Amino acid sequence: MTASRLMLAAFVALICVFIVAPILSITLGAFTETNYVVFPPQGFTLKWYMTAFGQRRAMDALGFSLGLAAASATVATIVSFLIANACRRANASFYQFLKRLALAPAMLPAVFLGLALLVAYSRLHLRGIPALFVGHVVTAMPFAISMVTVGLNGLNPQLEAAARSLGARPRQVLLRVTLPLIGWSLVSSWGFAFMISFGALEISLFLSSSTSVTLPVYIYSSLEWMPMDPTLTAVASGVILLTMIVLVISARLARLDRFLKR
Amino acid sequence: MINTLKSKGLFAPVAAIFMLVSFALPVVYLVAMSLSQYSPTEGVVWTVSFANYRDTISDLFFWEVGWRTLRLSMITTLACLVLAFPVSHYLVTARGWRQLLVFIILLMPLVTSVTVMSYGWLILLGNRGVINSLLLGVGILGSPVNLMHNEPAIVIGLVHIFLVFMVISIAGSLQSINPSFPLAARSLGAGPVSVFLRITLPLCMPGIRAGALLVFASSMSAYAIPGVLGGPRYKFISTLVYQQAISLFNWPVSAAYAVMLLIITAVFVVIALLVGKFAGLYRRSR
Repeated sequence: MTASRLMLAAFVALICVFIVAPILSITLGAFTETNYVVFPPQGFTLKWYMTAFGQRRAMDALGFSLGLAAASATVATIVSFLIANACRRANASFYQFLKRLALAPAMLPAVFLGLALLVAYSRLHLRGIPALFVGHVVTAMPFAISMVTVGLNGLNPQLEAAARSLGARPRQVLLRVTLPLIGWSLVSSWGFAFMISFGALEISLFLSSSTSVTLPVYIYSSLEWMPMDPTLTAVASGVILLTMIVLVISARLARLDRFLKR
Repeated sequence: MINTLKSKGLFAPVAAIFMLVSFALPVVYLVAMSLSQYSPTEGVVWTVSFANYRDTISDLFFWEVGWRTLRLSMITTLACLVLAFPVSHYLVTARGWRQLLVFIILLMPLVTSVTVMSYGWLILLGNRGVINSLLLGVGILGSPVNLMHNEPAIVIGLVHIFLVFMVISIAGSLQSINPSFPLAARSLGAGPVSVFLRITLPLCMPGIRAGALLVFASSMSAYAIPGVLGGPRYKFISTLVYQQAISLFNWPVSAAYAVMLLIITAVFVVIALLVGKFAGLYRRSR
């Protein structure tokens, strides 16, 4: 029993190494003192991170991606809450349909979605930043609405009924009972939507213009010219660090581990 | 009353209109676009014809790329299935920080930008990358080997990102198995292999099905991983869609490719579901 348990743990450890390996090599690669990424890294320096901070195009892309991800995660969470909350009503078949619609982008190929939005939005003369923003909201919706639904499903409706019977107006019920009770799911929904938008590549490749370049698009186009440049590695490890922080916070808040408990 | 109007009557329809305009209409518009024609002088000429689809279906290059997309997606799904079972078992039986740590590690490649993940594999597999440096340093190799720009590299990159889908789905099924079933089988004299094949595996089928569908569909639509790890020679259908739309401005043909990608994926998903269903019926009828 213990021998097989040990073998299982060893196998899982190997899988974890496999998963962490590319992430780790990016993070370590940026510390080298040489002008290109080598392994093992020569010496230890932070100068490539400093160079990365000095690169205007990379920093513009970072700032743009951060703002875009924050804005689209906020809108995706609000729209998700409105749809998921409306689904709890008695006659909500239309909103059930909307919920399925909001989940659909996750099932479509990313290039299908990107092309559909490019083609239709240019017909509507929606270009550049507004098009990217709407596209990112649509991409993040499936993740946001799943998390919000988990939160609303765990909410005891009698608590709201009690507040209403005690004379609370609908807004008071919403602000003082519903929202505080599902707040954790809204925050983790925002976190997952943020990560999806911050990392989205295909949709941005289709919708970005020369004035609105997101960080994944910047990295992807730089990969062709200077893949072993430690500055680019430093930028990429910045993306990893940011994503890790949001992931750990969202996972803790959503208590993701309880999905795995009997 | 005003509040009711605001919180229930007005905001939800706004959300509804947003979803319809921003997502549902573009999808319909794209399908309509795939039926139109492209002219180099006038751009999109609106027609209702299946000429783009006829051309695509008779295009051997499209099927070469399509077959590669399909084949590598199926290999990825199988590889994820084999690797995921032990990990799911561990995830269900482990407790506390170990469980959460393994779960977060599995989620990392999925939520981190796919660009960064393919970049990580480029650093690992490149000519001056980690693996070549290690092998050269130890002395196993005399000169660097090209580990990138081939099909196995694409599969490795895809398994890396999508393994978590399979692990979560199978873990969900494993959890719902009544623990007394395997114990009863063991006490009746079944060996561990027999218990796995005749109790655990059949009871895990719903999870395997869900996980396989997620991994397969996601691999079929992969873009960045084949783009970086496969190089210019080993394209996926997504690459063709992007090239037609952005490099050649041929939106109608690009739209037809995108719809074909969706159809091919859907057809194989339905076939897999039917095969699974009939296999289940056959087993029960015995």
